[in-house]
Amino acid sequence: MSDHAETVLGPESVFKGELRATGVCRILGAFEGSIRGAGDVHVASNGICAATIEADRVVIDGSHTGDIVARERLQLGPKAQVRGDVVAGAISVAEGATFLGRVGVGPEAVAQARPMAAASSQPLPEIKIVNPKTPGKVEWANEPAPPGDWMSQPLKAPTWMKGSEG
Amino acid sequence: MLAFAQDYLQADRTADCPHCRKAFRVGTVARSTMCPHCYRGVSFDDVVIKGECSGKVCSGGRVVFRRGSRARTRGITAGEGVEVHGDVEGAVLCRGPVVVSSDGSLRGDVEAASLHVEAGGSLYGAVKIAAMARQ
Repeated sequence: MSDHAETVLGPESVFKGELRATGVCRILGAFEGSIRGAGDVHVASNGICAATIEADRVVIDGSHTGDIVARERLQLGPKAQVRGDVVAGAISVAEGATFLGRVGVGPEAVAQARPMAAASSQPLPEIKIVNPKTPGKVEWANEPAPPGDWMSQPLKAPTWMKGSEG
Repeated sequence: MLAFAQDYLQADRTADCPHCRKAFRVGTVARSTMCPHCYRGVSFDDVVIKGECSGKVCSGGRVVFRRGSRARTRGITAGEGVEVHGDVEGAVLCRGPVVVSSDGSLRGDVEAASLHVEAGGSLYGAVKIAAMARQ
C-alpha cells in the first residue's frame, strides 16, 4: 500500500456516484457507481460494491458486481464474491472465492483496457430531492437494476473480448 | 512400523473422475483405477507436456505445461491442478488451483477452485471460480 492518505467509506455508509481518489480507497460499506484511482482499492469483507473500478491494485474481500481494471494486480480473498469482467496485470483468486466473469490478464490486456473501461462506464445517476424538508431522502432518476440471482445468469461476452474467442 | 505401513496402504481418499466428474473412493497410493460410475480408466499420475500437443488432456492428478510447450487442446481436465508455463489453448476444468506463470499463456475458459496468474503471464477467457460440490 502506498503512503497516500486513505479514503474510507465506513461500514454503515452508503455512497452513490463517482469517486476519484489517489492513494488507498477502502470500501467498508455500500458503494454504487464508479471508482477511478491511481492507487489501491480495497473492498472489505463486509463491503458491498456495485461499481466499475479502475485502479492500480484492487483487493476484493467482500461482494462486488461490475467491471474491474487493475493495472497492476487484482486479488480476490477467500470470501470474495465477484461478478464482472476483469482486466488485470496479474490476478490471484483464492480458494473459496466466487468469481464469474471474463478475464483478460497480461500486459496486452491492460494496454487494451481503455476501450473497455470507456464502453462499460455507466452514466452517473441524477439526484432528485423528493422532499425538501428531508434532504437526506433522495431518489435516483436512472436507478440501475439490482443484480438479482446473477450466478444463474449466462455469461455475456463484452465487445472487447471478441478477438479472443474462437 | 509394519502397522503404519498397513494403515498407509489401506487408507483411501476421495477422487474425482475426470470424465464423468463423479467422486469415488480410491486407495491413497493408487496410481490408476477404473471409475465405478463410467467404467473408464483414470490415471492419477501427473501429466507433463514439454513439446506440442493437441486433443484432449485428461488426468486425475496434475497437468503441467512446461516452458516452450504449445498445446491446442479440445479441453484440459485435471483433478489436482494445472500449471501453465507454455502457450496453451483450451478450456480448463480443474478441481484444484490453476496457475499461469510469468512466461505462460492460456486462452480458454477456466473453471477451477482457485486461480493465480503471475505478472507477465496472460489469460483470456471466461472464468468461473466457485466451490465445486462433489457429485
